[in-house]
Amino acid sequence: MSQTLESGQPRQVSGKPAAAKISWVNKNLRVGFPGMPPPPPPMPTGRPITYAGMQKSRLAWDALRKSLQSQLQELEATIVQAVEANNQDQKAEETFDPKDVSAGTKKLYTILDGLDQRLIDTLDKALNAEGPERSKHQQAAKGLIEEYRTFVASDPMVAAVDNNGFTRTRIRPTVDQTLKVLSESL
Amino acid sequence: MALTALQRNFLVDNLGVTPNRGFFDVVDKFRDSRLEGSVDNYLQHEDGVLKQVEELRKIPGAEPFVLNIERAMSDVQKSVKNARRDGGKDAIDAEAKKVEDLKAMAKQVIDNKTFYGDLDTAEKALKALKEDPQRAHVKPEIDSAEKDLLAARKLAGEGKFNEARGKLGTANPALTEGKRCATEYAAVMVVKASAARMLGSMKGQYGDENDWTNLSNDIDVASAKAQTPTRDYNAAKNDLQVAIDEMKADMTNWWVTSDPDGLADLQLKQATLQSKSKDGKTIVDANLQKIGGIRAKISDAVNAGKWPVAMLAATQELPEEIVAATKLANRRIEYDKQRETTVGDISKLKDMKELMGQMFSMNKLVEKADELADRKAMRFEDGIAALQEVSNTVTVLGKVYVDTKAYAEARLKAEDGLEYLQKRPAARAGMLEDQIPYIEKLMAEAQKATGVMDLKKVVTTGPDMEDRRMAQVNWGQARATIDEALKAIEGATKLADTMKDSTEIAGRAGAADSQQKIEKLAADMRSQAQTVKGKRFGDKANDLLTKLGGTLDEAVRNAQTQGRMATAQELIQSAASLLLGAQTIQSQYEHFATQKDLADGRQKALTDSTQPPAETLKPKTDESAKLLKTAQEKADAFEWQAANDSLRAALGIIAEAEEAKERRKTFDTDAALAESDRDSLTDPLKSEVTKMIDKAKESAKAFDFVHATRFLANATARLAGDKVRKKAIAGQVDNDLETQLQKMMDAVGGEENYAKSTDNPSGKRTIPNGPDLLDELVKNLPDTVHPKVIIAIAKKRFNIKLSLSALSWQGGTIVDDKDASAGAIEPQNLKDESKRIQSAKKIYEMLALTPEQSKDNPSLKKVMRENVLENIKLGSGGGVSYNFASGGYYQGSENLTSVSGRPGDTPQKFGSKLKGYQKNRDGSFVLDGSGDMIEVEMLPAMASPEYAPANENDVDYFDFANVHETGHAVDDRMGFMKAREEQAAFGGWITHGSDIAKIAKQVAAKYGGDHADILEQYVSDMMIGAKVDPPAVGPKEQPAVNTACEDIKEWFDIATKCSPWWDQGNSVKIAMNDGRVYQEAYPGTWVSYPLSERTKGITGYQFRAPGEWFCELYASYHLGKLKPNHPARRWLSSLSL
Repeated sequence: MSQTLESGQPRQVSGKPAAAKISWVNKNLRVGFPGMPPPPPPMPTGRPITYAGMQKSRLAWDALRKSLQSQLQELEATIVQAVEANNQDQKAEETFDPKDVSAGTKKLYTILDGLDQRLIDTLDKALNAEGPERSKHQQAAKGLIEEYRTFVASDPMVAAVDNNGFTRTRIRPTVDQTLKVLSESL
Repeated sequence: MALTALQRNFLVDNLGVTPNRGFFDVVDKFRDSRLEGSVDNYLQHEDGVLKQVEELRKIPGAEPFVLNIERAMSDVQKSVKNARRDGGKDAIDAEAKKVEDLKAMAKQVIDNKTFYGDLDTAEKALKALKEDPQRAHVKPEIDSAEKDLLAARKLAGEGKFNEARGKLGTANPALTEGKRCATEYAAVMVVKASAARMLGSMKGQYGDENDWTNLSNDIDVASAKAQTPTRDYNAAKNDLQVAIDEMKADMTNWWVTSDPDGLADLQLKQATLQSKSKDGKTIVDANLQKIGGIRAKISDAVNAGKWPVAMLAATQELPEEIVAATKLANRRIEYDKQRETTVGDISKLKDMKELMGQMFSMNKLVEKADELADRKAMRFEDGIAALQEVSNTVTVLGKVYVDTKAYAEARLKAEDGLEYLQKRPAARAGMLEDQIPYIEKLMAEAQKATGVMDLKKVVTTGPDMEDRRMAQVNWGQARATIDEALKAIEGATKLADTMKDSTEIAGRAGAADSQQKIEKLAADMRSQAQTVKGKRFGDKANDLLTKLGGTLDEAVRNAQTQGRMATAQELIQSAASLLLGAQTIQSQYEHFATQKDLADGRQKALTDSTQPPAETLKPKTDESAKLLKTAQEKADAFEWQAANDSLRAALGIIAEAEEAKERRKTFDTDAALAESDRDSLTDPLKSEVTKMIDKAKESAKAFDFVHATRFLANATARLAGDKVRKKAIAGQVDNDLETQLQKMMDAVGGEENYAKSTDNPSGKRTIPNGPDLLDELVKNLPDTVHPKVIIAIAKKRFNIKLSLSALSWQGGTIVDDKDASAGAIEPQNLKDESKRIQSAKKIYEMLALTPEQSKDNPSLKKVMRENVLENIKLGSGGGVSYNFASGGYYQGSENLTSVSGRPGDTPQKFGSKLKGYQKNRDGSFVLDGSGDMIEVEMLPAMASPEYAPANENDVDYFDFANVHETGHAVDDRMGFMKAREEQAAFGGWITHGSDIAKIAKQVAAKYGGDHADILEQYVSDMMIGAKVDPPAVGPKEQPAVNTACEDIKEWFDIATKCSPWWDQGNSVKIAMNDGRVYQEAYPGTWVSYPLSERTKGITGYQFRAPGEWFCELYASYHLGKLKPNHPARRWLSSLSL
């Protein structure tokens, strides 16, 4: 048997290394300055606020929200019940998908979203603060009341809710009255 | 209750809830009674269609309609369901119309069941044809039929059944033809694959390569006949079969009908071996049986069309087995020759009846030698040596037999003589009181010297040679002692004879009672006294005789005087005693004097010696002279026993001195010659020779001629070495060189020349012996000596034929002649490039590294240097450019090793410096952007530290290759690796021979996945070089099969072209699922080994083949690269035992 030892041992080997790869960095690139403080707010102005007035206002707003929530929940229950009755009525020309109805009634609560709890929080801060700090929160509360008034004036749900056809509600008047009182108290 | 308008509006407008105004409520219930008329109409149609669908399902070929109707109905139902109150009736009516149309279409199909059945049959046939492995071949038929069938269905769908049937009628013949062609073509492909397989198997087998090329072309031409558009399948098959038959006939003729080369010779050798075998069995029976098996396999394979098996068995397995068996037979025949000689020698013992008992012992030794000369031990030469030893023993036994028999006979004679002597009247009369004890003492001494108690046994059964103790007995000395006893007996006998007369006289003296009797007795006694007196004897005897004369005169006077008879009688009796005493002394003295005279003569010859000078013997002669003097003194004192003891001791010393004289004479002659030669030398050789001669003389002076001869031989070897060196330089290869070399080769042996430790290959002897000196001499010869001298020395030293390639100018080009004669003379300008002498010296040095394996190795008869350089080119400016050559090979059939290149050109690296180079699949090196090769790891990390090299220093590749190739001769001689295949301790190698099916199975299993079975043949075909395409399978399987074939091709390329043993990565890549690496070690020789063994490797090349595995370890061991605790050292160190 012929056994040929291969002369495969290479002999000419260059030790030249591969070119080094350079990791290039653009040092001119800047990405802003996080942590810079915002500009200071304007100083509060207006007449002084009484502690009792603020406390009264807080209670009034809290009572309003609870009242609204109660009325809206009653309305939602009435709508679901009425739709079920409609769907079972063979003569009804239209039916409503209960899932769609359930989703639709959730829109009622946008009223509470608009008349939110921030006022209570702000008044709490004012009650717990003194001097200029309290004035500052008082001004903020007044600003919120203005915001709520604007909301009540423009929100279609607030405008339509008391004319729902399912149950009697007094949402708009109650809100208007409360906002008026608050506006005067602060 | 329904919602009020206000409620609905709030719900829809403010809460965004969409009302559902369909005819179906949210639970799919139809609820509008006002539209029931339309709906009922729709439902009626729908029901009809659904029934038709059930009927359509039963019609072959109508499946597309069923699908279409179901799809359409689904859309219709959706539309109906989504219909709104506003315009709802129109919508439902429209859908009902659609359903009506579907009914009509379904009816049309139902009414044409037969057509659709036929269409279905045709479409299925088309599908099958498209999936046929030969689909490519019948693509025109497929395309044509597909086009027509699509048209037929379309036309039928349009209700144009006549036209549709026309298209169907066109498609069917195309399908039939396609099927036929596919089948026929597949059959041709089977024959073609067989032909291709056979052609691949026959590549390189034809003496004229054109024959193979013609066959290859014939097959191509034949195959082409089956191609489109010719499609002459029968012609293709016939022509292919013609080619197959032609090759088959050649195969049959070469490998089946004809006897393979060397078989007849082997069979003759088997017959020779049989003639020497008792039971008719021979050592090559198994080989011939295997050869018969291989031939049967070849025949079966040829007949069964298993061409690769036939080819590999015929070209690889069979020649290899015949060569191995022939070598085995040759070695055994040589053994048998010696065996016959030895058995003949043993049979000579039959002539010595007493030694017949020893034949059993000798035959036992022959049986032991037989154990060395079998297939397992493979130590025929050791067996021959053992037999020679038996022959020597028999010779010694014969000699001892002669000695012992001679001794025993002499001793028995002495014993008989002594017994007789003891019964003589003289002995009983106490007249031999000195002689008999002396004789008895000699007998006892002889017995003690021989240790032989039962003399009769020695004579009747021969000496006991079991322990060869008898051979150590100084039979010469014992014989001399017994001869001395015989002489003493002879003397005593004579004395007894003499005493007979004296005794008679003494008796007559007692009865002499008259003058006449006394006068007569006195006259007789005077007559006897004259006899005694006429001989040489001592003063004491003379005194007694003088006194005897006076006494006799006085006795006669008294007898003549009356009345004095009584006195006369007393005097005559006293005279008789005096005569007896004188005669006794005379006898004793004469015996002593005779021996002493001889001793004196021998002593004088020694003290008068001139060659060698008496002085050289003085220690011995002084001692013998002293003993002689003592002997004489004791004799003079009539102390005969002491005198004889001293005399005998003196004779012993004289004998030693005489032997020493002869040996010294020879020694002096040889030493004088050596000194004479020495005197013409210069230092340091002169001092070395002088030192050795002095050691020899010192030993000779102490009469240690064994060592003296050895030291002198060593000195002679050194002197011969000087002559060899001078002759080498002068380029004289003649008889005198042969003589001088023989002197060097003879200077071996002796405890002062301790053999090299087997496990210390680089160790030196305490005193270099002749061959060592010769090796050193060759190493130090200048590079200007003629290579023919090295060739001559190597022949004498190793019994090998060394040949060296030479460069020469021929026709304006440089030619590298590997068959250059020993005396070839290279042009000066090529000599420097060729380095012929440097190569010769280096080859010699490497052979001398393992003399116990390279000398008289039946598997190493020729050593070559060839291929000095590669790619030699002449430059335009007259310069020469070339590449280095390296490597070597071993050719077992010729017992030949060959190395290429020159010393110092390239290094063998080790350990972390051991690198391979990346290769392309065609075996070429991969180059980087700069044109340099790319390094790869040759071996993985070591399994444990002992496998790492002892150091990482480079070894010259020329050196390493030489020792490596010698290793092949060692492996071949011992059948080492062949006997150790599949053994884990020896690499776990398997040489697959013609059993490539096992490899194909492993490869196909790794790469083939689910298609492994059909790929095994593909792998086998590839392995034997057949031109084969990936197996044709269905279109779904074909991509996977093609991918597998690509993987297999990659394995094949790496395993056959890329020398994967150099590259760890490639070795890993071609390891199969069983963990073994499968590769082609040499063309046509497939081997496998466990990949994990590479973690124990010393070089990458070790993993080419079993023999290379052995040789790389062998070379590494002898060149000091294996660590002391490397596991292989154990068996490497015992190879020479």
